[in-house]
Amino acid sequence: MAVKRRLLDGNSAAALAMQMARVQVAAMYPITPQSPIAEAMSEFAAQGSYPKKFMRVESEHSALSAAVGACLVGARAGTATSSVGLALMHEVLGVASGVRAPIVMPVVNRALAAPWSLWADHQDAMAERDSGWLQLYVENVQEVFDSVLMAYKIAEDPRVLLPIMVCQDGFFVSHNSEAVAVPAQEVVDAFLPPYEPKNAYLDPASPLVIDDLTPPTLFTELRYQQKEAFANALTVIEEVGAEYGRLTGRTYGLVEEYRLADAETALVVLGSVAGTMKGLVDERRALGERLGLLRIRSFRPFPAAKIRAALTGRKRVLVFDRSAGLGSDTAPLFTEVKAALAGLSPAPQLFGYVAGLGGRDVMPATLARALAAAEKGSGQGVSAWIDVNQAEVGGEKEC
Amino acid sequence: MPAQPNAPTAKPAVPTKYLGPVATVFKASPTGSWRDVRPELVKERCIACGICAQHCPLDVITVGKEEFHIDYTYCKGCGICANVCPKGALAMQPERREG
Amino acid sequence: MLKVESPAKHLMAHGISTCAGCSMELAARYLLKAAGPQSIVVIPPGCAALLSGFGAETVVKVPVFQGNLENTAAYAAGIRAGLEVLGKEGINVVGFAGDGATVDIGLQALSAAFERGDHILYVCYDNEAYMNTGIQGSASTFPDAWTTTTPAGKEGLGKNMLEIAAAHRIPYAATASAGYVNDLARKLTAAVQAAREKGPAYLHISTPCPTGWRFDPALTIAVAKAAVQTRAWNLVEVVDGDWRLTVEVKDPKPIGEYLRLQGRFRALTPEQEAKLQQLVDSEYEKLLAHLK
Repeated sequence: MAVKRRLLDGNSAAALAMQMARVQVAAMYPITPQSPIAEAMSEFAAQGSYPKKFMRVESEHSALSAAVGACLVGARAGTATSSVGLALMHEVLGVASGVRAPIVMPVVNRALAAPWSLWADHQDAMAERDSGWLQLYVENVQEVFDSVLMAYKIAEDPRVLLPIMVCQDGFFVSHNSEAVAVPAQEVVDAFLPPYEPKNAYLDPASPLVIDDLTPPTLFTELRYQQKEAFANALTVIEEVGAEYGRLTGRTYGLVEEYRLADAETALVVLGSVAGTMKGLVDERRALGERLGLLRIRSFRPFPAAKIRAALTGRKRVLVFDRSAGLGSDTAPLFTEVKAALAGLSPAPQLFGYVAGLGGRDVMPATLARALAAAEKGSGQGVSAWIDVNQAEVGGEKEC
Repeated sequence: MPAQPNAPTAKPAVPTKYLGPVATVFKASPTGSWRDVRPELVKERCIACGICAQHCPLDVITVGKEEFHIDYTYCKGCGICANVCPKGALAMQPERREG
Repeated sequence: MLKVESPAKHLMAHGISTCAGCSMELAARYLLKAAGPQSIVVIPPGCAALLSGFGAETVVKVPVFQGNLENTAAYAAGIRAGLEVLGKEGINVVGFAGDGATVDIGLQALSAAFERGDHILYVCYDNEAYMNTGIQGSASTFPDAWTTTTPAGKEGLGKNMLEIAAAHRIPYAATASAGYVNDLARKLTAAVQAAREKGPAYLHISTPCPTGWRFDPALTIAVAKAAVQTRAWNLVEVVDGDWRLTVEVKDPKPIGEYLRLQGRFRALTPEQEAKLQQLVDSEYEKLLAHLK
């Protein structure tokens, strides 16, 4: 099997994977830090490769609309975005999901304005939790490449037929170069056959109407179809991850466990912070501490049973959110993990932390502070803000 | 759960039940029940020019050399046909319904 | 494939829940006659969404996608792109949207499709307000007209959508009227052909609305004709940048003959009427400048 290693950053990896997936129509609008994906896709199209058509749209709203249109006539379609661009797509996200368009969209996570920030934060994607899209969060560049390819296979599975976001942390992954194993095109082609629409689509030879007004007698049932698709996706993601593993040697699941089997304390996280955490786990393990990591790859569907199984028997569980979860004592990931572990006996002590907002590094020292706080048992059950510089906050609030 | 439309048999790749909102039944509503007044032909005035049919929003008027027909199943009685007729050959009459 | 449960002469059913005397419906019939069965239509959720259907039922025999209010042109452009990469030729891609979805919220996506040169036909049926939501004013509402959000009369002169479209230097842009159906039919045919062969085609049709404009449904065509006869609405065609009047009104009637047919101008003062006459006259002079 011909495997090349190529030096790619997260954006190039996403674009290359879309090209190798033979995406036929790409409609993209530039936004930092996603812009290199749009540039690469337009370059591929100009070279006569895939995408066969790059649509230079005037907004993210139109980018996704155009992708939906292309998908509804039977083309493999894709777009990519970040931050406020994803927010602008919000309305169309629900359409793509509701009409069951299996679009794949790399999302380069970046904080939402205000305050303006160019840097990594998961609030953009978290704000779209209920949009009906699958959400995969990746740790590194290799995983970007692999996940975008797998995403098409998952999205297009007749049991799923839902659009997917492949979320990578802005700059930390999108602009960080790594040597990436790239399978040969024949391997990709065998894994991902040419796109064929598997649901209703627009064709004058067989006319029908998509997304007409739906009465209350039917709306619930159509939502239920989507709910079932998310449940199916739990199986399909693992199947596709296993198949991909057989072809490439890299197997992916709903979650990744790192030295977790005998861990007393478990760290739970999404995205690139896992890399730092794995280092910390190794350091602490060397000191005799039984520390382990659970990285959640699939946030939607949320693999609650997997997470519950993985965290059963832990003494302490520390969940890190890279989004603020404003208005709730528990940030989004912690909220979900807490619910997944409800009623577990013996119950682990649960701690939540908000860290790494707006591109701030989550340093080993940050994690060490969180571990120390948890040792003392302080702040159980809520998400604490562990890296706030009080001098910059103003006022006299304690965190 | 309400009946789902069936997929075309010629395309086996499509499941028998569509996912998402899809309409597959071509069906009109009997909008003739809306009518308060109905257009009636004054035969001796009609020159079969077809202007009424050209302007009927519902496309329910058929004008031929020997025939003139309004489909009252759908005609809403808007009166456009009578209004555009250059010869005054359509008269709007009060609708008479039983009951 | 559609299961046909009702007879129809052409591609649209005859019993549709549009208001009595609706000229959007009339325009839609002419559109589908010109475009034919080899068409895919995008319709936003306005009055024309009644054509999309309800639940399992629809009233059109061509494939339709109901989009959102502001992205008809973007969906249509994506559909065209999809057909293109799949090598599916000979299919018309048509957007059919009201004035709100076009002149207000949809202008950005439409402008982009024009600028890219996408092969789509975009037809705006202009009933001069958000009629489906209950007669709220739009950028296309006639000056001084009453709507539910312009209770004291609409301020501002509106947008000249034909000039906006033509300024994108698209191959075909035209205005039409439900009151001039032969002119409408010819332009639709020309627009369909332009969208197939050259690039974006835009047709803006004046479709008077008895419900929103407050007139007897029987008068729909008469009101549409009066708009043209008073030069409140001019029938123009811009082909590859060349402007021409397709219906020349040599001896225009005073604007009052158009305004007084409608309840939405009931509160108009003589001064306002005089001002509107001046506006119509000056707009016509500007139009003539394009014809030279």
